[in-house]
Amino acid sequence: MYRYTWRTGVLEVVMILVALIFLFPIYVLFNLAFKATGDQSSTLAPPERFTFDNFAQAWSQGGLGNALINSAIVTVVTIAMIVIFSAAAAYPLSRVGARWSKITYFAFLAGLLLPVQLALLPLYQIIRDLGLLGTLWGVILVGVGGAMPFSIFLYAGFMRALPAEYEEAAALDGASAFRTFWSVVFPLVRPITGTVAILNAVWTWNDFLTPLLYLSGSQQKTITVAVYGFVGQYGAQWNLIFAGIIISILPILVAYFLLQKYIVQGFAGGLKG
Amino acid sequence: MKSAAVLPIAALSVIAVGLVGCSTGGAGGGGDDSTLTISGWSGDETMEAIIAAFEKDNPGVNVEFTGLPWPNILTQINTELVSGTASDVVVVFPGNGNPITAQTLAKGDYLVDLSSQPWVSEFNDANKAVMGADGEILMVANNFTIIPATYNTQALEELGVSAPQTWSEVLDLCTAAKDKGKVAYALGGLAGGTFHYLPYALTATLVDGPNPDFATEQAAGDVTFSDSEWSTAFEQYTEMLDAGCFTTDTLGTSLEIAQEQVAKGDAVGIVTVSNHISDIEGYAPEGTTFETAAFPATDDPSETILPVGLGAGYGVNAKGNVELAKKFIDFYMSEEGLNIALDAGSIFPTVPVEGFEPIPALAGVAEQVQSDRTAAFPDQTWPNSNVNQVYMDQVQKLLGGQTSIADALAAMDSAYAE
Amino acid sequence: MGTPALRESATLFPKKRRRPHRGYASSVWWFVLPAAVLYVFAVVVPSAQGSFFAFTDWDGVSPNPSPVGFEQFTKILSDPNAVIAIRNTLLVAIVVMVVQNILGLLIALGVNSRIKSRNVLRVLIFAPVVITSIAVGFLWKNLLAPDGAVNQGLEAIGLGALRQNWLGDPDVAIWAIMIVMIWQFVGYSMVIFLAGLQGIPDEVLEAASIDGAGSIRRFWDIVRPMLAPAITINLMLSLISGLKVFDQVWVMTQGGPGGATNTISTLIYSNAFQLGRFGYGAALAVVLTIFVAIASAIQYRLLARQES
Repeated sequence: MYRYTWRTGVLEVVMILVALIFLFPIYVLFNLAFKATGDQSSTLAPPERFTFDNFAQAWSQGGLGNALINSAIVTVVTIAMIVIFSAAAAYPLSRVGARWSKITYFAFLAGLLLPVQLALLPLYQIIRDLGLLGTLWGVILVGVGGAMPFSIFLYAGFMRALPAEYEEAAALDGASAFRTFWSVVFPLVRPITGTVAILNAVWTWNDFLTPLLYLSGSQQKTITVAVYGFVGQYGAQWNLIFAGIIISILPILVAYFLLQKYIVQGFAGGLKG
Repeated sequence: MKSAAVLPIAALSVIAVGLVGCSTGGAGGGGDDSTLTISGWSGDETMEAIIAAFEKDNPGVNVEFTGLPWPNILTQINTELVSGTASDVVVVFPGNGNPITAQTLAKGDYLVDLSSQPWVSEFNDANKAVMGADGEILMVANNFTIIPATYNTQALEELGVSAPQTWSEVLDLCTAAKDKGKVAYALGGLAGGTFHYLPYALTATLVDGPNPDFATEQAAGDVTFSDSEWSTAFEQYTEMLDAGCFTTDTLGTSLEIAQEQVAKGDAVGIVTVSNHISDIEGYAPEGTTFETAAFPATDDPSETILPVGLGAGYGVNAKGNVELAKKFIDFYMSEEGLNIALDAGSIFPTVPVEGFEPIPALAGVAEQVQSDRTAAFPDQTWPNSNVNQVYMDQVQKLLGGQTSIADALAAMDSAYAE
Repeated sequence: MGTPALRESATLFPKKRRRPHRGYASSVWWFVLPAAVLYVFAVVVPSAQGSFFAFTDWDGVSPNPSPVGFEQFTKILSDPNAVIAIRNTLLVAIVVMVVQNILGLLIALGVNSRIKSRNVLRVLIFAPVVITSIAVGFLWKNLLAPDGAVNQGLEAIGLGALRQNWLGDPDVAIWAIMIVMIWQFVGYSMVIFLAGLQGIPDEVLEAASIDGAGSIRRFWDIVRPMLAPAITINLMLSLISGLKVFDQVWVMTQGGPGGATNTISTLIYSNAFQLGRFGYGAALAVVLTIFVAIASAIQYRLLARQES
């Protein structure tokens, strides 16, 4: 198969250069997080003195520990529900040729078109009426419902690309529809499960408006809400915010790194396995 | 292998669902007699200190404080008030101009009338006018926001000048600063910056100075932006721009960069709200000191008027725990509450407090704040939020040379008339 | 292993000629149910309620909005800000869609190859996706400042003539925002392309990239059809998110200077939640929805024709 030729070497150099451009603003983020308050050097210059004070202060002042746990709960439950519900829904929508399935598919896609601002206030009042304000369930249900169009779109697209022979074989063997889906189709679409999971995880983890709106008044905070606690009326403590952001993105980058391996084993791997 | 990957996800979600089940929290609003909920600013240490003292004075009372960040606090509190889920005490701004100002909220009876509270008599009519509507008092603030010119003292010394007292001295400062490769006034022209404050400083002297009733007359339709000294104010603003008084490429300069410029002495001064001074001090090298002066618009220093407005304060949710909330507001405005605020922060109190000393940087304007040579911020009496929006857009267009003064004022007039 | 023959059926679109599977239609419809319930409750119902306000004069606080028919919609036609916003929205959607997908695909191909740093690079290029908008806004406001890193960098490499007042010049600011959007979301496209590339055997990819001459042609003929689902998904998602762009504009310019970078979404937000014109904001939101629907329907048709 592939060998590491000089051509690969050139590609490697080019890709690293591209990555450096991407990294530059992130360098600034880290740089500011490691600077002491009152450090006079410019935004780009390295700190006069490296300090972990901002991290320590953000951690204790912002209560980031609890917030990380809340964010983890919300994200894991939301993603689990998104993956299961959207994969299940996408399956008949991508397999059944009937008219109702096509209409349902497009009804879900229509959700992609709607601007969030339109639903903001009515949705808040629905959650209020359900008595879910101040609970993580409110945030989770809003997140799962809102993610359905995008996730079903991704799943349905890739499931259609999947040959039907495997399922037909399973069906002939007498497997139930659920069993066929769960043990044949779901493993086969693994790359897209990884993609759905990671993209929704990023979105859920970083979402700020929903948890702020729905958890306000309770003592629960997600990591983003805690980090933005450093934004006041007349200014923001950027050193603390950036330290908080670095703390908050590490879990999600690790999750991505792990899921990435899962993604790249791929269709092919799934079919072979 | 296939299902192996699914298992951890399923297991994790089972655990997590269990955890979610355990966690419940009450949303704001209502509550028993001994619990008070407050929605305020995130990271507001002053408020936290006041709350602690209030709890100590009232044994058995439990205060739950929710800190909200700018600018989401606007949407948040508005949504909660409209939906009947707001805290008992909420942040409210004076006047008009955003979704949680006293006059905007007056339309919906969301806030309790506080006009019979003891501290009301301490405020003058101009202040009371922006604290509510139709004779009702719907909010109160313990702090004034001032718009002085803040100078880097060392930068002034380097130029061998003192803070300008007249318009000519302002222009001289621009020249002197330019000769030393500095700018006279840092100006953040990017959204969220400082560009809209300097015209307020100019109109205080040019518009409100000669005609203290300008706002009332404008509301009655007797005067407009276009046929007033607002045009002179905009002319002087653009004159400063053309004379190179401001940060170059000001429209691309953010608040933080403008603050840093004056903190580090690259700019000599800045015209912005007094609440920014502590941020500027934070950016400054050790040993840097700052001083303030009212920003002049004419060549007679005695004509200079200082813009002083009520800051953001608090109101009482009509659907909340009203009695306890009123008690808290009274405490917030009491001698004890004010002293806590003075100790914890650098506020300029709205009512007289014995032994009050302003922070050193504000010493230059302290006397004038308490005199009658002040004027309210014009935006607090504008009839709708859109005037403010149009004003901001037009000032940016003036700075970018995309509109004329006449057109800018005409646009503001038509927004005012809506 | 997927072979080209197997993958001929790859398509995103329901094909009329596809035979319904035996017994499927009756036994699997309930698979859709949980998703549908949550979707109706979190999206359909509140959006319908929200659009009701477009036919009222609600100011965001008064208890009783009164109906005004289509008045809010006719106001849009005479709002100069709306004209600029519509133009900006279209420009951003198209430019970002094209550039983000070309770059995303090239980068995905790059990190799908055998280079040694591929795992690290995948994380690094994805990292901007993970950083929240408010931080992205602050960082780029600094980098794009008149004396910021971008201008300094341009001078350092002898391209000083290209320096700009990035966010302050009304003609340039919208492009600066697009640069930031592309920086932030290339990783997003990359991930979806990577998922698509997993379905293509290495030999096929290698055959398409062996030598310079004709490799683009081979890529187009062999790889592109196999990547069709990923391409379609990416194009549609980036078009839709471009048309709805809000965060990046809001955190950097709030639609300024002087309204030059407003998009339809920033106008919706400022009208509904800042200016006390909830009804007008809702009307703009309804218009945006129709807009996005038309654009994606056209795109869907074009892509469907491409795929089959």
